[in-house]
Amino acid sequence: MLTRRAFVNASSMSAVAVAAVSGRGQAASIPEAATMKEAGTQKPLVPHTGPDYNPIVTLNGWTAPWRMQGDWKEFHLVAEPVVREIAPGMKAYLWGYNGQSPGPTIEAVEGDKVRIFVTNRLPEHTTIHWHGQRLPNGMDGVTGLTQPPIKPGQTFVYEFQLRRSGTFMYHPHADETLQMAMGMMGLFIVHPRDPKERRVDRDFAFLLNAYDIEAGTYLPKVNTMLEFNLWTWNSRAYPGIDPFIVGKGDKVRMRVGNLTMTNHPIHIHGHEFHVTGTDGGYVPEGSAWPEVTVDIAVGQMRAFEFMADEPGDWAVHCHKSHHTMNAMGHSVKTYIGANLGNLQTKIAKVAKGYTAMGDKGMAEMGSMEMPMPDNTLPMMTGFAQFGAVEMGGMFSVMKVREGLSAGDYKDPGWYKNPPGTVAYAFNGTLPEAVRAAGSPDATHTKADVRVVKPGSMPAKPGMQHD
Amino acid sequence: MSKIAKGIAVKSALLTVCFGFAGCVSVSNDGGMGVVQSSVSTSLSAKVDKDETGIGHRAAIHALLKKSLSPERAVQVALFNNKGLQAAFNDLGVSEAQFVQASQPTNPSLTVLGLTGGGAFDIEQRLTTSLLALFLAQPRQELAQAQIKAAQIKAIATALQLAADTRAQYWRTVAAREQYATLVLTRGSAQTAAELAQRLGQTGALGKLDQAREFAFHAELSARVQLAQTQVFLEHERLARLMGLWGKQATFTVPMRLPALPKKIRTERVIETDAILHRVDLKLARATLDVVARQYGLVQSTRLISVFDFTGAQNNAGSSGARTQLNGAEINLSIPIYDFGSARIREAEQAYRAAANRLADKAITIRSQVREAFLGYRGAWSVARTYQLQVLPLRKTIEEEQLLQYNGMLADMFTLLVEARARLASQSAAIDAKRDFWLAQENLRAATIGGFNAASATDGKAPANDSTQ
Repeated sequence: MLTRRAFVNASSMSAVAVAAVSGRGQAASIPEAATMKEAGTQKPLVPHTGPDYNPIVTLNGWTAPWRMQGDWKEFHLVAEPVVREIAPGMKAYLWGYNGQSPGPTIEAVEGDKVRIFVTNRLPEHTTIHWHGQRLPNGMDGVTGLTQPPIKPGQTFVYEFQLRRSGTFMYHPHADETLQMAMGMMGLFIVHPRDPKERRVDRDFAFLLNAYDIEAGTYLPKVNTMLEFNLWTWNSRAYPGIDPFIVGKGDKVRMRVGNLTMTNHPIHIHGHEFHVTGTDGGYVPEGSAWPEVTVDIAVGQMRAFEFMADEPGDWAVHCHKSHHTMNAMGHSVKTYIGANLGNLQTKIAKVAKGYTAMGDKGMAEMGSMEMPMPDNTLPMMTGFAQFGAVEMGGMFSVMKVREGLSAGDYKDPGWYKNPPGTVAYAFNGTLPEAVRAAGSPDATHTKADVRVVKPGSMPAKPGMQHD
Repeated sequence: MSKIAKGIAVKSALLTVCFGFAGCVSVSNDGGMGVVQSSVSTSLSAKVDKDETGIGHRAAIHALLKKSLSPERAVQVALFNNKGLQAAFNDLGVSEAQFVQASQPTNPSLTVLGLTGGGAFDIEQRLTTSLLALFLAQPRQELAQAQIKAAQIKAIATALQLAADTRAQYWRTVAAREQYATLVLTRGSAQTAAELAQRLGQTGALGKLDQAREFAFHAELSARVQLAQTQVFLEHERLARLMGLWGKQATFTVPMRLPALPKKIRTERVIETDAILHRVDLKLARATLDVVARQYGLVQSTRLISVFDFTGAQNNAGSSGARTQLNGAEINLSIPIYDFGSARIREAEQAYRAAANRLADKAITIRSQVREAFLGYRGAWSVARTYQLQVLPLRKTIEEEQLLQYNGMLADMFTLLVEARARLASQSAAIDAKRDFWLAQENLRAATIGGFNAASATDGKAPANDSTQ
């Protein structure tokens, strides 16, 4: 739900704001800053003023409203602390813009003159860098280098003309590591001047981000540089990420920007796609290359397109398998094959409430739904028509259905597979395999692999203990 | 004045003398135990009894030991059965026997009435002689009386000391049991971890290094369990010794754990008054003062002199020369009587002052001791309460949260065992704190009524089994 609030609501704030924006005639009044309270995917914002374009669908996000002031499109971003629902059952205390992290998507059209007001309601200074844009150097948003910092309470104005269309991002360039670890970022989509150019039926966009929020806590650990435990799309983790709703036969584009500290191979099931855009712009149509997984390096953006011609519920995910898990304990030992037997009772005697886990594998984790620490997502979770999905993090589902109308993004439920098209359990008797004479008996494998260090006896499994 | 009238006057004078010495001549038939029994009964709500038969209180002790001991029952067994206490009662008997002996020759009526009537002088002379004999015997009686009083108080003090030691030892014995049980649980968690490590060794998930760490921890805990078990035996034996038990009777049982802390504790206000009223060693000091006062004839010299006025009054009733005769007759007694000059009064004053100062010193020390004991008691309660109300519940929360982390596969199974050990370690500290509270309570009790052991008051160690008051 979009709510509006008067930006200038305190005289002191007004004085600061006026001081900060003084000297620019057009900025005598400031557009209201819209704020968003919900974490679900909002309907695309169809433009009513300015040039026409095909609006974007921001996954679990929304587009910032604007107003026209002369030939300037005016936006207002408020940098502030926010509470973001990562998935039902977990909230994160982040910093973001206009009530959410990521901030609202800024959508405009190639050639537009944009004026973006940035108000700082954080406890420390900030700036915004318009990642990938061609603009005057003084609008690039690097604190100290291209502008003074926006101090708490101040409002700054960025003005530039959008010189090319494509996928862009915005993020702070002041105390950058901390502010991005706190969730400050947003998408900036510049549509082509001609709405027919590179036109698709459904245009999805999301940012890759990562947090380190310990089980039972709410605030990201801002000093974590690599060992993040929550891998998110637009600050959402599965099962909190909305499905991509697509009509059969739709031309679909997904635009992905990576603001994490590592690369992400984004993979789609059931379809090949063509990479049609990079940070630098559109790939010439003849040069777009086919893939089923596109690796998106740190700080990069990729756009890829495909024809959604296979109906069904298709997984879309980062192919780093640990990125499709939520917070987990990396120090948990491997219990596979350990016969815990009577030890379980002994452990339960000392640690009340204990239940054995992990001695067969970890899949049971996906379905057990054990009591967990506060504000913690299960490591593997999610349920669909055939049972536990055992996923988390950067995972979602593309639901391709026949007969969806153009603006219909409503979840159609689980796919009804045509009869005979679902893998099934074999219930018959397996005939004995015919083996060639003299082949080794499969039931007596003697491949007992032992590591022998030079000059030592083979390692014995286990020690003796009474 | 007729002879008869004079005789009556003499008798009444004798009575006056006797009142002057505050019923000191009375002899009990219980070897002085009555005072001890009522005093111990008031202070401890327990019985003491002199074992005259040599059989002791076998049946009573047997009944008391049947159930798991309470501190009250342990004290009762000790009071019945401790031979050192019986010895103190025997000492009391000895003192009383001496007192009775000292009382025997000083029956004035026998002496006076045994003489057949002669002239007034004769009677007066005899009476005076008899009275002087009484005065002469009086210091011996005073000494014997002081001895019996001291023996009584000493017997009471011994009983109180024994009770205090027994109660304290009772808490130590129960605490040792509870500690042992806690350590056994801790060892259980270590053993489980060791077995788990061994099985993970068998699957290839844990190397020798990590296995050995778990095994070593288990082995060390086993050693500590043995130590704790030895402690249980030692504390039990010390308690048995105080209760005078041996052989089969020494296999009594105490509860598995210490009782819950009281929700409220004594207030500071009445504690010093209590101690001044009840401390047995203070009573001893006061008795000493009384004795000194009496030895010197109630020190206020008029009273002292009035005794002699009584003698002079007799002479005044007869001829004026009687004084000389009396004086002549007093030669044998001259030192005690003639020494009641001004020098003698100064000595009485100094002796009285010394006794009074000692009494004052004792009272001041006792007030300080009881304050110290109270501060220790309140502090120990506060520490034990912190463990009960904060540390242990928080440990429980930590364990529960750790379990939730384990459920989410965010924490390893071993961490559950590690947290369980941490909880048990806190529990062990909580047991110590609770034991210290009960010991501090005994200390406060002893500081208030007696049996206070200054050496053990602050360090919480087992006191020496002597009763130095």
